[in-house]
Order: sequence, then structure tokens, then C-alpha cells
Amino acid sequence: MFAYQQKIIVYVTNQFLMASLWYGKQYQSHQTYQNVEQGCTAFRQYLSQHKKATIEVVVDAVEEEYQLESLPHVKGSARREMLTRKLAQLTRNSLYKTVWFMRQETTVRKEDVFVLLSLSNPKFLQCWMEILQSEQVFLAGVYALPMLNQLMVRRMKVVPPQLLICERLSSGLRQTYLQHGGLRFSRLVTIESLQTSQLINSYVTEVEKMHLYLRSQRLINDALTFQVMLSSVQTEHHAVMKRLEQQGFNCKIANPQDALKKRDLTQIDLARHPELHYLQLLNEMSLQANLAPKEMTKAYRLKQSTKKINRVSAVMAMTGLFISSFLFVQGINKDEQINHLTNQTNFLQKQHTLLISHSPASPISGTDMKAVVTTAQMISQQSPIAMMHIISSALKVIPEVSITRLRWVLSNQENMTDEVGNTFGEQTNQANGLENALVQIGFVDAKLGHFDGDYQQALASVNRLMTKLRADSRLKIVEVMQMPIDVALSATQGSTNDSPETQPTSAVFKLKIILSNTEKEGL
Amino acid sequence: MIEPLIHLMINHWRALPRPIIGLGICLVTVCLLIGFASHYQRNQGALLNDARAAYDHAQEKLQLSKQEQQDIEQYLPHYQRLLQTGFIGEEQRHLWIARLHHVGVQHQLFTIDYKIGPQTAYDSKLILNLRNYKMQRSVMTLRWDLLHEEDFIHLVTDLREGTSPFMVRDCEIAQASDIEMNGQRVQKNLTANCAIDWLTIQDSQLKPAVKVDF
Repeated sequence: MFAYQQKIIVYVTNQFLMASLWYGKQYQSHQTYQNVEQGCTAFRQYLSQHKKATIEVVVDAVEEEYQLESLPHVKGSARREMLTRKLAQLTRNSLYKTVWFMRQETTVRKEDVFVLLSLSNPKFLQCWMEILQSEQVFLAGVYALPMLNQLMVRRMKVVPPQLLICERLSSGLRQTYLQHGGLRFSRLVTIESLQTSQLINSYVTEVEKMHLYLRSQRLINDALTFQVMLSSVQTEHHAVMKRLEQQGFNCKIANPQDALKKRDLTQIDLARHPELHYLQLLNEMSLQANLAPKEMTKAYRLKQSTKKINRVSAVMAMTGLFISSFLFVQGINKDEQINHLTNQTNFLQKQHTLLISHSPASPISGTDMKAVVTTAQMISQQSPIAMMHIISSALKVIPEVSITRLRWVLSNQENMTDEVGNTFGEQTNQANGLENALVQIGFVDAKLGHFDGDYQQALASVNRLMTKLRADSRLKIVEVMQMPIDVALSATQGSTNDSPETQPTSAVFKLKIILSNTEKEGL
Repeated sequence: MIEPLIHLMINHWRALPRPIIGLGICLVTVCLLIGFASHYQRNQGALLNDARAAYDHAQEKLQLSKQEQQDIEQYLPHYQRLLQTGFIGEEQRHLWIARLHHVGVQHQLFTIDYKIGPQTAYDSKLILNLRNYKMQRSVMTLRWDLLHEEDFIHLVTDLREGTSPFMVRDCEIAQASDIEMNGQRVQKNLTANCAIDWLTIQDSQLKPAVKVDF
């Protein structure tokens, strides 16, 4: 077990000192030393064996003074200064004193009510405290035993408005009065006889005295809310409760061990030293108020500060280690990825070198070669043969039509005309430099064979040819440039008296067709 | 947390020098450790990015080389044929004329009148695949009579064999009157006029094959 987890809780009365040893929350043992020279020497030896243990002192003596003070409601350092001044003023001769907040008044001024507690005559403590100081122990605090009653009722969740805890301890009969769970007053009475009947009488008498005192102090306003709590540790509690109830008191029996988390203490120990459960309670919980002057607890406070700083250092070191480990792990993972990628890159480079060394000899780059070859193939595909095939297949189903002239042009101007001025071989030269794609344009001059002057028949034949050509998906545009008869409203001219010799012997017409860009020769 | 700690340290500096010095050492050590780890992690991150870039570059190069090799293997025979026929470099008119004569004899065509113009620059923008190269063009005009349409197809088709690629640009086929040939009256049905572009590429513009190394 680590030494710094050791704790010694000392219980001091006028007659003796009981030192209980705790390792963490675990009870170990207790030793009792009488308040004589031999006892002091033995206690000194005991302390020398537990140099690093934290010491807490619980005083259980009659020399306690309680005072109630209403002070202005202030906060912070002003409150601290005010309380220090008041404490020094009211308990001038006492070394061991403390103060705690009780409640706030409901009056207009809303003053704060404090309880001041001091040990009026701490001579019985002197020997023991000198030993503690000479041994340079880590004294955490000095507490009056009634202060621990506050912890007990809080743990037991028994917080009536007015509660009188009545129990028999090694020092005598202790009566502690609490208001709403806060210590208000306590009293210790020495028990003369331990005979049961006399003990019961003592109980009843002292409770009545206490009740009268509290009434005289106007601390009890309503008798119904006043409750007496007896400890179940003592064997006489049932008889006492019966007697008190006969006297009209509202009584309750409680087991002090209910306030403890662990029940390490044996019934024998508790029967011999009922105050042991208070010591365990103090070991499990902590009190803010402390009777000891600051100088006495300086070593302990420094030890606590050292602990805090070391704890911060440890947390900082752990956090730093965690963060740096995380970053290092990330870095190592990346390093592994780098190695993997480097190996893969080297492999690719080797493959590339191998590929280069085995590639066929070429005068130019593959990209240029591909461009040149595909260009040559595209150039070779430009010829009128595809269009001639399309026209031939259309004429097979319309045999009366015969072609007299076909002009095929590769141009980037779809709207070009087949006019006289548009001389042969010059059209596309003018188009050089334009960005439009080249298209195949055909001008078809045709006539109807065996024409007998029936223009209706002729128009029907031309329309059939047009329909056939337009159905061909390879052609982009098919349009008529000239019909066998001029059917325009403003241009029709002729006479029904015309002789057959003067009537036309053929019906000629002209078409313009454009091949789709996707259509190539041989496809 | 920091403020009470500083307060604590100021109050107890004289009484607790060791824990405070320990805390300071711990703080400095932790800062150094985190700083070093952070630097290492960032450095490795930068190296990883470089390694990724190098890998991508190598992969891209390999793909390009594979594509290059594939292109060469696929197009080299065609390219060599184009080189022989004069599509690349100096034009070879004698091959065109010889081929024209050969086709005329082979298919018993009527007399073919031809005329080849001077070589001029040709705007290769019209040919999408070769936008970056300058081309030369020689325009050949042809005029011949046809017995029927097949004669036209024979000429245009067979003229391509063994010659550089050409582009038929403008053709006119029209009905014609009878003519006399070899003492016999042979009916000529059609007359054809054509303009053909013989195109060539300057070989100096083509980039030589380069073996790419890392």
C-alpha cells in the first residue's frame, strides 16, 4: 500500500486519544492512548511509524462554545474579512475556532446567519497537538464531533426542521441539535453510572433539559416538528425511546452505519467505541469548516498543492504523450504509404523502361503518325461515288426519270449554287480559310422520258423521287431547284391553242442534295 | 484550469520549487515532443503528396507510352505506305500520271485530258485531324468521256491504288453526243469533268519519336 494513501483520524477526549488508521477508504486498526505522559510517548512512537500519513483530529469535549451571529450579506473577500474579524472578536482567547453559514434571514435586510464554534479551553488538546507539530505530520484539520452530525444526517437523508441527535459515546452523552440539517448547538454530559436504569433516567433528564434550554432560547417554536433521534448502537435505546415517548417526545431510532458506504467496523469495535462510525464518515466525506489555525495545516496544504501540481504535470504529460503518439503514428502510417507508393512508382518506371526498349523503331511520334494516317484515310473518302450510289438506287423505282447532268462538289458552304458564274473547280477555293466542315453537295439535272405533255404525271414522278430521296437517312438535305413546270403564281404562262409542235417534248427539273457528314464512301 | 494553477504556483513558489520546476520541465518537454511529432507528421504528409504525384506521373507516362507504342504498331505500315506514295514530303506527280495512264488502258477508257496546277498552300483547318500542320495542294483537272457511269467509278477508285491520297473536290458528269473512235463509231454517253486535290504534308513539321525517360 502506498504511504501517501494512509490516513490517521484521531479522536480526542479529555481522558484519552484514539488513533484510527485507514488505507484509502479501508479501515485498518485503532489504538487508544490515555492522556498521561506514557500515552503521549506511545502516540509519538505511533506517529513516527506513519510519517507520511494525513492526520485529521476529531475533538469530543465539553469545552465547546456555539454562537449565532447575524451579519450583513456580503460576498467574496469582504465576507472573509468580516468573518475573520468577528471570529477574533468573539473567541479572542481560543486557538481552535471556525464559522459556517447557517441560513439567510427572511427579513428586509436579508442578513446572513452564521454559527461560530470555538474550543474554549483546549488544554487537554495541548499535549497531543504539540506531538503532532513536533513530528511535523500533515495535519489536515481539527473538527468538533458535532460537526460530523451534519454529514451523517445528509448521508442518511434525514433532514427534519428540528432534530436532536442523542447518543452515548466514550466521552459521555452527546446531544446535538440541528436545524434543517445544519449544526446549531451541541452539548456533552458526563455519565456518572452505566447501570441501565440510571442510564435511562440520565437520557430522559438530559433530553428534557435540552428541550427546555432550546425553548428558552426560542429555538423551538413548534413542538410537533421537534424530533429526537437515538442511535441503535447502544443497547438501551428501546427503553429510552419508550420513556421519551411517554414524556411526549417524537422519537426515532437510527443506525449510524446507514450513513456509511462500507461496513468494515465490527459490532464489537462499535460497542466499545461508538464514535468510530463518525471517524469512518469523516474518512468518506470532507468538511469545509476547520477549527485548526492555518499555520497548523500549512504542511498539509503544501502537500495537497504538490499533489495538484504533480497531477497537472501528469495529466499534461499524458496528454502530450497521447497527442505526440497520435501524430507519430500518423507519420509512421504515411511513411508506410510513401514506401508503398515509391515501390509502385519504381515498378512503373521499370515497366516504362522495358516498354521503351521494346517499342518498334519509328521516324515520328505515334500521335503524329496516327494523325497523318487518319487524315489520309479521311481525304481518300471524299469522292462522288457514295452520292452516285444513292441516286442510282432511288432511280431504280422511278424508271421514267433519267439524269442529264450531275455535279458533285465538296464544299464548306451548304448554300452554294450551281450557277454559270460559279465556275467549275473554283467554288471551294473561295471557301478556304473558313472553319465550317466540308460537306458533299450534289446538283442533279434530270428529265422525264416519254413525256406527252401531262404535267400532272410529271410532277407526281418528281414528287415520288423526292419522297424516295428524303427517306434516305444518308442525305441531309433534298430540295427542288427547278420543277418540270413553273407553278409559281406570278410566272405561269402559256395557251391552250398552242399546237402540239409548239408544246414541250420533255419535262426537265433540277434537285440539290447534301450528304450527311457522317456518310462516307463505301459505308 | 490555467488561472488557478498560476495562482497556486505564485503562492507556493518558495515552498514548492520542485513540483513547479517539474511542471515547467514537463510543459517544455510536452511542447517539444508535440512540436517534433507535428513537424514529423507534416513532413511525412508533404513527402506522401510528392510520392503520390510521382506515382501519378509514372502511371500517366506508362499509359502514354503504351498508347504511343500501340499507335506506332497500328499505324506504322500505313505511314510507310504514305511515305512511299509521296503524301509526306515531296509530291510525286509522275506516279499520278503513270497511274492515270494505267487506269485508262486497264479499263479501256476514252482519252483523258488532264492538267496539274502549281503547288499551293492548303488550309488544313478544313481537315480536322491535322490542324497543327501545313499542307500543300496541287489541283489536277480531268476531262474525259464515258461510255457509262462505271468508267467514272473505275477511274476514281483505281487512281488511288499506289498513289498518295487525294480529295475529289468538284465533279460534273453530263450527257454527251456520239464520237468516232478507231474508225468505228463508238457511242459516248457521258462527259466528266473533275477537280482533284493532291495533298501533301511537309515532313519537317512532324515531330520525331522521342523516348521519354523519368
